[in-house]
Amino acid sequence: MVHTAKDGIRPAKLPEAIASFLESLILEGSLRPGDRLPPERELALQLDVSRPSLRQAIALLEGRCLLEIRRNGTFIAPILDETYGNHLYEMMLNDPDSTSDYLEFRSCTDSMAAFLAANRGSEIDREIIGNAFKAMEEAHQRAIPDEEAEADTLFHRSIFEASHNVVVLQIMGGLGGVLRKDIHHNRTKLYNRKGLREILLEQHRAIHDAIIKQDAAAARAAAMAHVSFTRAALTEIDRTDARLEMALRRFAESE
Amino acid sequence: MTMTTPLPPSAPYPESLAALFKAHPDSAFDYLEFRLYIARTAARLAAERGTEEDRLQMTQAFQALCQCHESDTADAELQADADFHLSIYRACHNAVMAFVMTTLITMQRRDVFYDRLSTYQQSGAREALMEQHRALYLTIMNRQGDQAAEAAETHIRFASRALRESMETASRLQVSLRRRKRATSPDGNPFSDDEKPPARRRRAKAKPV
Repeated sequence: MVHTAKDGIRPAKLPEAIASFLESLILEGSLRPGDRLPPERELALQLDVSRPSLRQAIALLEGRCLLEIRRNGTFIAPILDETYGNHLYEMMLNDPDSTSDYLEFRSCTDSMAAFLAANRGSEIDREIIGNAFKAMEEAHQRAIPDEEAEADTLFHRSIFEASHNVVVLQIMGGLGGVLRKDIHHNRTKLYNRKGLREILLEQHRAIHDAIIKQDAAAARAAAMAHVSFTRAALTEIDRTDARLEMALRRFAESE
Repeated sequence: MTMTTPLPPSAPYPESLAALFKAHPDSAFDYLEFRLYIARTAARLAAERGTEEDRLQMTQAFQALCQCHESDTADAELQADADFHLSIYRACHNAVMAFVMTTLITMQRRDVFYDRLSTYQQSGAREALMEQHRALYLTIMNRQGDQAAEAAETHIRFASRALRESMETASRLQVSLRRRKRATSPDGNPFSDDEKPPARRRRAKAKPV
């Protein structure tokens, strides 16, 4: 913004300044959709502002649909609103190739994010990615597909965050929110297959190692290979499932 | 030629995300960076997968863009520019990519990220952009995937540079204007009569007695 004498030198109003600060935290991913804000009294102390100012800021953000006030607290709203999410969801539901399209799109966004994360990620980002990967390894050892699928989601989210590009983070985070059930379902499908789990873990390790070594080209290649593999594996599973169903139907008819 | 609407009438628009981006102007560069990666893939896919119908749509969009360019109507040209890019995303045959990019381009059309007109008005920018669009169009029509990806990258990189320059130009202009005021005002003061510092104006109002 360019300041001219005409604009005057007016400090931003406090509630607006608080709202803007909270917005930045949402934009950068320090506050994620579904997170609960600390209680008003506590947050006012942490931000060193008065409770009435904080209340006004929260009202501003609620008006912008960024916060949801529920009985049990104030929560960060989904980044893509329900109407938008439903529209996307319907579109994908009616399109048999949409999972494949989603993964093709992801191969583009994930290779970008891995490349940027390797280039730009800070020491702290690498620590977070390292922890997310450790959680994956632990879930792998426990061999609970559901848990492994969840750790997988968090690992990818940590890379989007480390890319320090708010557009890729918000768009992919938003899509992830809308398609949460589908993605989780597909991941669980993968993690239920013998042999696939090991391959997936090794692919995640390759992405992790390249980012930690700050080797951007290797990180991009590893992310690309991982998403392409996932896409091929899911297509294959769906095809096999369809064949199995057909065989079961034939069997039922012959009975 | 009619202009295509950015989103089908029934398609919703993520208002809160748009407002979030708009309130934080640095997201403009992240948007262009995101476009850089997606546009490369999109150009390649459109070159490889575009059907005859897609190619017709892209041709019509490109011709509309040329007409606006020749008739020198920057506003219409901006709309035609967005339509041309949408026709490429539609030719990718990836419903998810088309959906997401339609949303982002609609945000851009509504100047969520930056004021497009001032970027367009950088000297030489319109001509350069037109040449980039032509290269993008021709490589896609010739089904040259690699070259189309390169053309897309060149285009978005140029747009990022133009945006940075237009922001810098705008802030330099403000400095020049203030200096000129100092030079031309009788008492050598950069606040001209109609632009008194607000503090003084407020104080004047505060003591009516």
